[in-house]
Amino acid sequence: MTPSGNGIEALEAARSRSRGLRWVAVALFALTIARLGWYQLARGGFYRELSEDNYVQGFVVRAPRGVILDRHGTVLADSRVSHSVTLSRRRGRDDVDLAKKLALLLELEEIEVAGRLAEARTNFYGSVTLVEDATFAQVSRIEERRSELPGVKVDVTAARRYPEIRLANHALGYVGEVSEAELETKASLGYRSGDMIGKAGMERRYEPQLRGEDGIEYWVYDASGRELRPFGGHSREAKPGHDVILAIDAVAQRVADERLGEFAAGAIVALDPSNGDVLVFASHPGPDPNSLADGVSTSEWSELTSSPTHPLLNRTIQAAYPPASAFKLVTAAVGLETGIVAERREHVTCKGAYKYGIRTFRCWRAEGHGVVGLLDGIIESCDVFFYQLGARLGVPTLMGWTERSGLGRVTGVDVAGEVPGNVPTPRWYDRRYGRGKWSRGVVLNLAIGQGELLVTPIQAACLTAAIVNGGVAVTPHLLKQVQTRSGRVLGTPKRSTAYELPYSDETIDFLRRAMLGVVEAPNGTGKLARIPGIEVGGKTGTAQNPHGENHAWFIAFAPADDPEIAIAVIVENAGGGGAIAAPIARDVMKAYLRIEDAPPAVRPPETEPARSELLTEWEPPEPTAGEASVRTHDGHAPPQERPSPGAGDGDQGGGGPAREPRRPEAATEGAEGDATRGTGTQGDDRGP
Amino acid sequence: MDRRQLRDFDTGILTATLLLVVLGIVMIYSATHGESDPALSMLAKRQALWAAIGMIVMFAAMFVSQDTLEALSPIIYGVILLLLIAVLVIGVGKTGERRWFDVGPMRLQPSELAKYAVILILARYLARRKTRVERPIHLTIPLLLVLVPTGLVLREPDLGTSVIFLLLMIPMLYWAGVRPVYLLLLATPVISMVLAFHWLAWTIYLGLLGWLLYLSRMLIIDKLLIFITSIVTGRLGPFLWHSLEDYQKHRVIAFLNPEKYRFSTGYQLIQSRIAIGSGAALGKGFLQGTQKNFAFLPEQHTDFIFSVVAEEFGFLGCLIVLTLYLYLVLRMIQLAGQVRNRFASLVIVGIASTLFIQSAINIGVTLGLLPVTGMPLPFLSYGGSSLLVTLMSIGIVLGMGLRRMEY
Repeated sequence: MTPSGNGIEALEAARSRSRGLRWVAVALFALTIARLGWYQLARGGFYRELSEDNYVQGFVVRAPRGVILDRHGTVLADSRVSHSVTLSRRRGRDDVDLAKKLALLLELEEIEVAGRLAEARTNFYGSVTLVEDATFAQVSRIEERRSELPGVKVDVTAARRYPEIRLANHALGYVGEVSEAELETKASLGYRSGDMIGKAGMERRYEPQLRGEDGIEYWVYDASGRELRPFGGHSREAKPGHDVILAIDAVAQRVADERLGEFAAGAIVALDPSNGDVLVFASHPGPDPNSLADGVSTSEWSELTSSPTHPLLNRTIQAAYPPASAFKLVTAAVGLETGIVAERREHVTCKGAYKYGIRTFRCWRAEGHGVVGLLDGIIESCDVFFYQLGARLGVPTLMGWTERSGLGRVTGVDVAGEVPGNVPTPRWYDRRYGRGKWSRGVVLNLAIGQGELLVTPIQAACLTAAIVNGGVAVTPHLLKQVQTRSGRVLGTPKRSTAYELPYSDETIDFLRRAMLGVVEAPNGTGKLARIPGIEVGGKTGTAQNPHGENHAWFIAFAPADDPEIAIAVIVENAGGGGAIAAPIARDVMKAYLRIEDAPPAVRPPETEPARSELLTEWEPPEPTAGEASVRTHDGHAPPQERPSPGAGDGDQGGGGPAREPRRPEAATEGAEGDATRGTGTQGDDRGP
Repeated sequence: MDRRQLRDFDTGILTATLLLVVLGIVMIYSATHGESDPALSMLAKRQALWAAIGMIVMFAAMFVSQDTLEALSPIIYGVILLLLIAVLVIGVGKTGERRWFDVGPMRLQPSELAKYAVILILARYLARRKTRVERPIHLTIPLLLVLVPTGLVLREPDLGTSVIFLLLMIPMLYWAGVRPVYLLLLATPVISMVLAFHWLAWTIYLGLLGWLLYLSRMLIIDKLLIFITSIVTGRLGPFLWHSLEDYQKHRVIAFLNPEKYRFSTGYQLIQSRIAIGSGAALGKGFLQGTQKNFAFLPEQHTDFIFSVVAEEFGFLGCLIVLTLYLYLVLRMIQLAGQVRNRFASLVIVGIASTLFIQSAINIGVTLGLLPVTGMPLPFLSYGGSSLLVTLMSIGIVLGMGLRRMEY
């Protein structure tokens, strides 16, 4: 046919195209014939022999999973050799006899073995695992009688091992057998039934890096099942998974896990402020990853999920708590930024309570703090000062700035399931209670970090890190680098900024000084966080909990001149932040900074008379001169160290509205019973 | 239809078709022979039933005039596009794929029909008197007509079928008078997209392309167009890639390199190779194949049917089967040159190309020349809908042969 034009030329063109197409077809035909000729004529005899007397069987060679290490090379997760007994599809029908034999040798129920044998016939892969992680006795008995057991084989596999079971188990996560649902969605990645896959934490996040690539070997067998020789050409070696190095410092992590273990529940997050490295990532309680990796029974699983302490909840990122007095830093910063207060101008007399309309809001210290300024307000954690500041700021201003200070949204840490916490803006209150149906007085509570404001431990740590890093919050990350088994670095996380504090340099400097005062000033509420030889900054918080003991908060950084660590500690239902959380933060920071233990330099809190008496008897050795000297940052003559109740555990932020009935409770949405885990349920979605 | 037309009936095409269909039923019988599973031993009978229905469809298709087809082709194309979109929403398939609708006991796979919709619409566009194909820019519309369904099929995801769309376009454009050089240019944006992942390779490639364009005698506007398209797709490639989720990336990698992730395919290829090789010169004889046990080769009756032919009938049998395919294709190309209606001529070339490309890919896979894509072998592989549409397309070709003197 002529595509364009007419006449002889066009006809000629059409003919040439027809010729062209036919030539292509003939050429490809010839190529196929040539290939067929090679297989069938040249190599036909070889293949004929293979097809008649022998058969080829393929075996998967499992790739060793990558190792997880801490920043200094401590092994957090590796693999150990394990044996499994497998059975492949056979031609015979001697199931009953074989089941009897196997049940005897493996010490299993005969019915169970028979069921697995039946499965091997129908199962797509043509083989089943009879015993995972078999004992030495089982393996040797099988090996002895292998000739009587056609199709039964002992495979060498690798099982995941977590050498220090309680170490950072929420960060590491665990591995488990790939589930039906995962097989569906990941079929194209080549997961086969029985494979191990990362189920949570780093094991899941970096599964593609850790996994490696299974190899395959083909062997030629003769009719009686003897291995003759490898069948070349298609075999492929297993490629081991890559090693994942975490930013975590095992030494500090160990201390954190141990100290949290003294309490029912809590979390610790520590960051390197300059680069976002997550140095400590502890959540207590946690499941034993070894037992999860070995597989849990349904009853064990339901025990894990229904336990009142929620061991599967990763509190560092999935539990949100009222920040309590730690939030006074933000309130103060907002006051400074909006010009409502100035560091040296505002002085308020605290008589232990603040009247707002017809209601009375109490300070944690019933006898009052006397005349306090902004700096003392933070150092002594005076509630009355912040009530009046909050009242002047109002909900829209305070919460608007809070949102811009990085709260109420995820930090972007490389662990799945992070919850954003909650910043109750006027819009939020309108939605929740109806327009105009909520009191402006909520701002008083918000100003001291109580009420519907909820913050996760990682957000608290990130905020602390931002304050000491010139206002820049680097996105936190547990991953330090991925490298090959031989040590070639394949990748490091990209440094990115989570947010920048919208504060001036002066404000940030003030916050730093205030935090130093909390720990180093004699009237500070965080004195128990002192570390001999270096300056520490911090802020206590004691979150009111209508359902039990208060939650203890402490955020801190050290050393003051060039902070290497920023930390947030929360201990649930344990008491005051200064008494409980501050010393934990101190211990973890000391461990990270590798400061050898010296006896405590400061008198412990005196809330519990029995204990304080005991401790006052014991005179600590004089701290070094520099350390003991009282630092003042605001020109106030420092009052002498008062052995008043709560010098240490400070701020019962819980003053709050004197007897104001708590609202239907933003804080209790979801997780029953525990006010502080308001948003906890957001992330508690890990099902079996 | 008068007697003069009947004289033009192409008995050669019909004979080759019938031989291949019968051979298909016989081979499926052999591939499933000795299976205890009743569902499998039924397959040859079912294929015979489908063949009978297919013959009726083929016969009916002969009576559809090319003018009707030409007039209907935009509607067919539109309906197929809607079906391709619908299958993405409510379709079903193996693990995560969305390829077909379940209509009662039947499966309707729109991409199977989409091949012919694309052939019809392309033929209609290229056959128009005012369509011009002298300049590269003229390829924009045919390219869009093909790329839209290609993209939809790729989303299912069905890489094999979408590749057929792209490949069948090339002989049709060539037949319509597009210069072979321009057909090569069609590949330039694709190459650019791939090379863009390495900046040095991409720079060298762009430099080379620019230099070649500079040397060529095309219009400056065409040169610019080609160059800019390459830059745009090159920038777009990595961007699109990085916008994919991890699991989507893995899926693409698994598609491009199936042996990397699927152990069963490597095993299949070995078994297929042993089966083919052991057939030697004359084969083991009908029903005598030893490799076709399902434990050895699960896709024996569908995608790997050719290895049964090779095992049982040897090199000689393969030569005959391949010659039948080649004869069909060559005969159709010849017919396309004789047909006076330009639309009909282009449709025949399209159908011949589809037949050829599908057979070549399937046999290439069986012989280990191409990655495993899951492409059936026309006529021979088990599968009702595939056989039905193939026979329908042969019917269309035969009908156009009858009307070869009509303009």
